[in-house]
Parts: sequence; C-alpha cells; structure tokens
Amino acid sequence: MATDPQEVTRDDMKRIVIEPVSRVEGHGKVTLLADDDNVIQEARLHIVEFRGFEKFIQGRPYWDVPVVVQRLCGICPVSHHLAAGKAIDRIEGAEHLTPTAKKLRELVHFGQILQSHALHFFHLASPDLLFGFDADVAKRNIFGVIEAHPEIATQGVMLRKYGQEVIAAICGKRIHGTGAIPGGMNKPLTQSERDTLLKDIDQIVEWSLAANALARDYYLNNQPLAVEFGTMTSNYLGLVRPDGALELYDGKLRAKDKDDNMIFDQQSDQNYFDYIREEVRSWSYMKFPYLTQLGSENGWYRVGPLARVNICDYINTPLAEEARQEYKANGENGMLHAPLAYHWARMIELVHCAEKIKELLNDPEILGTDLMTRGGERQSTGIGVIEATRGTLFHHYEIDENDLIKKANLIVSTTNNNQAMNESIRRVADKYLSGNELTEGLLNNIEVAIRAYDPCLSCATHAVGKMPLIVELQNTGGEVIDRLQKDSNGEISQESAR
Amino acid sequence: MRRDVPNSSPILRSSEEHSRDYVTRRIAESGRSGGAAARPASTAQAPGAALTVFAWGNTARADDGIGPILAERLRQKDVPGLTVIEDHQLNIEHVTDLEECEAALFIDASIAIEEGCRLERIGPSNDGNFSTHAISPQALLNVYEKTMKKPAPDAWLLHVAAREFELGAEPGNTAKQSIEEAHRFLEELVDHEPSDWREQLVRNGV
Repeated sequence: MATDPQEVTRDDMKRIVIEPVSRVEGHGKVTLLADDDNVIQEARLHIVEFRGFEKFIQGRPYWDVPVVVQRLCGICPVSHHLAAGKAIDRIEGAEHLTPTAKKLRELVHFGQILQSHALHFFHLASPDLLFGFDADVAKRNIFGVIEAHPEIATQGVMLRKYGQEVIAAICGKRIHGTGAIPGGMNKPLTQSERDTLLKDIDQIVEWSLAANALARDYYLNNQPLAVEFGTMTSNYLGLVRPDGALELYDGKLRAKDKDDNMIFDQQSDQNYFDYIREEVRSWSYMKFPYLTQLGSENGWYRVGPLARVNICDYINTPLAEEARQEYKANGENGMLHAPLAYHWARMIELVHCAEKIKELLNDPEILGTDLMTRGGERQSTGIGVIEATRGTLFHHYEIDENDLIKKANLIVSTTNNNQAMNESIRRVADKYLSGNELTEGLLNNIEVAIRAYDPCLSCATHAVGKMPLIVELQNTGGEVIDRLQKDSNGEISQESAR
Repeated sequence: MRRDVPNSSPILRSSEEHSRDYVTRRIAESGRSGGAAARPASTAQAPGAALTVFAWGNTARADDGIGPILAERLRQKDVPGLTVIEDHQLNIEHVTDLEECEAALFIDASIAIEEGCRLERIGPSNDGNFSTHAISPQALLNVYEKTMKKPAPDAWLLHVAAREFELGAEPGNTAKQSIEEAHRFLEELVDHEPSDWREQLVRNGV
C-alpha cells in the first residue's frame, strides 16, 4: 500500500512541480516530493476540474438533473446522464423500468463506453504503445500513428464515430440529449435507426477484436516493462451482476483485494456509503475514497476497466469472455495490477460493448414503444450508481419539499482512482528520476502513467490543444533549482539555477 | 507469463485501403440517408454546404459557452447552404463532418485575444499534443488530410475573447461584448450570397 502522504516529513524534501498550463486555471498539476537522497516519497496529482459539481446541482428541480449533469463532462456526458437518471427514477419510485426502456439505456451506455474507449486507446494511448515512451514527440502523437499505421488511426475515428451515432439515435443528438427521463425513456428507437446501426455493427465488432489484439500483444510482448511500469497492488471495486458477471449499467457492489479475495460482494448500491468513505486532504480539491472496513491507509482501491475485468467472474458475451480468460491467465491469482494492463482491459470491454450493441440491436424489444414506468411513492433520496467509462460513478441526491435538490454528492470515476494515480506516478518518478535533474524522459514516463488511468483532465472545458507541461524542482526553501517546460508542439526548454 | 504471441496483431495486418474505403462509403451513405447516423439533432445539416461552422464549448462554464451561444444564433437564422455543428468539445470524429463542406469556420472562446473577436486563416498543422481528449482545429484539418488522402477545405478560426470559466456562471462582461461583436460579423457574412462567403472570409481573415 502507498505511503500515506500525510505522514511524510516535508521539511526534508525538495518539491518537483509538473504543471500543465491551460486556459483553465490549474488544469492539472503534479507535485513530486523528494527527500535528500532524491527518493520520491510522495506524488500529488492535482485536478481541479471537479470543483463545484455539487453546488452546480443544488437548488435545481430534480427532474432537470439528468440533463444538466451532462454539462459536467465533455467526455462522458452520457454516463452522468444515466447515473442521474437512475437516481431520479428512485425519487419517483420508478426504478423498475420497462424492458424496452432498460435496454435503450443499456444500448446508449454501451455506445458511450465504446466511443470513449476507442478515443482513448487510438488517440491518446496508441502513440505511446506503438512508438515507445521516449520516441520523438513529433512522431509520438496521432499524426505519427496516421503516418505509420493509417488503418489503426482510421478505425479509431470510425469506432468513435459509431459510438456517437448510437448516442444520437437514442438521445436525439450527440451531446446533451434527453433520452433518460424519470421512470423511463422519452423516445423509442425507430426501425430505420436500428437498421442503420445494424449495417455497420459486424465491422465494429471486427475492429474491436483487432484493437484488443493490439493491446494484448503490446502487454505480452513488452515484458517486464509493461508489467512493472508504475505498478503496485491494490484493492478493486466495481459492479457485478447477481451471478458475478461483468455489469456496466446496473449491478451490485463487489470489492476484492490484490489476491482475488472477496472483501464484500452483492451489496446494494443504495447503501454505498456504508462501504465507502471519502477522505479530504488539504492540498487537493479531489477527495480520497476508501473502503470503510479497511480504513483510509489500506482501503484505497482502483476502479475502471482494470478493476472490472479483475473482479468479475465472467463476461456474458463470447468474444469478450474469451479475451478475459486469456487476460486472467496472465495475472497473479488471476489479477493484473499494472497500469499498462488498463489498456488491455479497456479493449476487452470495447469488444464486450460491440457485442452487446449487436445483441441489443437484434433484440425485438429494442423497438418497443412501452417506455415509461408508472411512478410510485415519491422518495426524498435518490442514488444512482453506474459503471462509467473510467469506473464506478456515484450520484446521490436529496430533495426538499419543493422538489429542489438540497444536497448532492458525486463520486466520479477519476476520484475513485485518485490515490492509485498518485501512487503510480510516485513509483514511475522514483524509478526514472536521475539525481535531482529533471529530464524529458521523466516527464514522458509520468504522462504515460497518468494516461493509463484515462483521467478526466479535460472533462469540463475544452483546452484547444494548448497544454504545455512545466516541471519545477524546488529545494526545501522553495527555491527553483531546475525547470523544464514542454510546449504543445513538443519543444523542450530548460532553465537551471545550478 | 505468456510470451508466445504473434508479433503483429490482425489490426496491423489489415488493409489500409479497406479502412479508407469504408470511411468514404459511410460518409457517402450518411449524406444520402438522412438517418440518425447521418444527421445528429445537434447538426443543422446541409449536404454539400458552402460553409460548415464548428462551434464547441460548455455553456455551464461561463465564457466557455461562447461557441454554442453563437451556434444557436446561426441555427435560428436557418441560412441555406450553411451547416452548423455544435459539440461539447472538438474531437477526432469531426473529421467526417469536414467531408461535405467547401469551407470550414471554427468558432471558439479564446484567451489569445484581449477583447472582441479575430478571424484567423488556419491550415493543417501538427499540433500533436495528446494529453487532452480534445483536438485543435488545425490538428483536425491535419487528421482529415492524412486519413482522407486529400486536401482539407479552406478553414478559418474565429477567436472570440473569453476570460471566465467557472462552473455555473454566466458569460462575463468581456465575453458578452465579444459575443455581440462576433455575432455582427457572422450576420454580415451570411447576409452575403453563399457564393461570396469564402471571399468574405479571405478578406477579413488575418
């Protein structure tokens, strides 16, 4: 388990600051605390994007929430839409959806995860994997991928596009649609829309399989690097079905430890607060969730593709299940712990989503028109939990007598991975920091470690691609003794006081 | 640990031509079909548009919503020959939206200028930053050229001054003024005949 940052003696440390400068203040920053022997004792990834989420929601009528929360994130608005929708179903006493409504929600959810996984893997991760972490930055980007592997780049674009088309068909538009409403869905899927999506789905499944093979081969052919890079063991959390299968839309909470031992299983998401607590640390806007029964020091956990594939008993689509079994055969006690294994797990889920989309499109009930459940007794609390692209997403609302949201608590996926990301960065920085000199190689490696988790660094606003990274090395007196800047065009500049 | 895996994945062995032909076919089909795949509701689609406007941002984040605000005003004018595409972020799949347009105008909130708006002629470039999920207009044009194997359409970026990005806030005073200035420019532009739009953009761009 990670060293508790609160216990580190800061007086004995230098501070190394990696600061992306964007038009949004504090878009993201990494601070490394090194002791006098240049051992990295602590890493702090600062993400301020999540400031004010709860306040933004408070005071709004509850039925408005599934729409407005989509504006919290430009990458996974559908996940927020569905999590909020599930919570509002509960408030209306209408959590048992009609078969068609539930399948439409699942379909749009699979479309969302498919497009988001494709974007991350092809656009953000594949340059690292195809060219190596230290490759020329002029080549290690999406344009390099297009030049060297044009078919991969094109398939990434089209996988992303297909997922967006699924979303548009069900929610009415690619962004900020209104598919989920309290107790159901607001429009059926037409036969024409279904047929349009069906026409391409076999191609999408084929490309998903190829992407999984690419991620798998990278992991297996690049050992020990892929296994050891930024790796630590941890607990894992996610939703599963009653029979233990992978579940992304609506399941029960399960947590396992690093050795595949069950910590808890089949717990209702409506009682999540009995199993998860959040710790506040003075230096971060993001909270640090942990499993209550293990405490804050040992109870931190990981979520997302790696966690989901690690903890489920099987996947209920054949091609993804075949891929999962191969994945599990390469783990310790069936568990893979490496951040770079996230890419493999992510592509297994890509296959699963493609298969489930095909299955749902071929299900006659998907064209049904019985979309609404009659509401029951109105509740004052609504909790919706979903497996979003990056991991478990919790929406928890309380309403007042005027139907306005008086309290909101959101635990977004990236927050669940907060401690784990810090720990991976610390391990990478400790391994690659040479003396007390900052290097481009160190910067690249830290970026790769962060990227493996696919955090929502750009979720709230768009960054126009201008995101230079600044690295500062400070001594205990706060004096800057080394400074490294990487501009968005990849040029590196360094200022040293030595 | 398993090591006996093939050195190259099926995806690496697959045909580049196959992928590109597929993209071309899908775009052609979507332009004809008018189905959900072809026409997201956020898009005022006009196949073969004289000008496609891309506007993106988050209206819940103060000045970040400049693009969508201007997009909505353009949509309400319902100008023949004009396609308006709005999104939360400019992203890689928008490369397929470039296929049908003769010229592209990107509208974005900008901290690069102090006030008002500025029209910049842009072209494909290797803005290769990939720490963020979003993509720049210049990078999008570059991806288009490399994936479609043909020149990107003529393109301009309308910078609209922005300062504040707090969640839940309305646009600030700087943005309110710059939005009106940009709106006047866009009104004047689309009041011309579509055949003159490109010339107007050339004349006003820097």
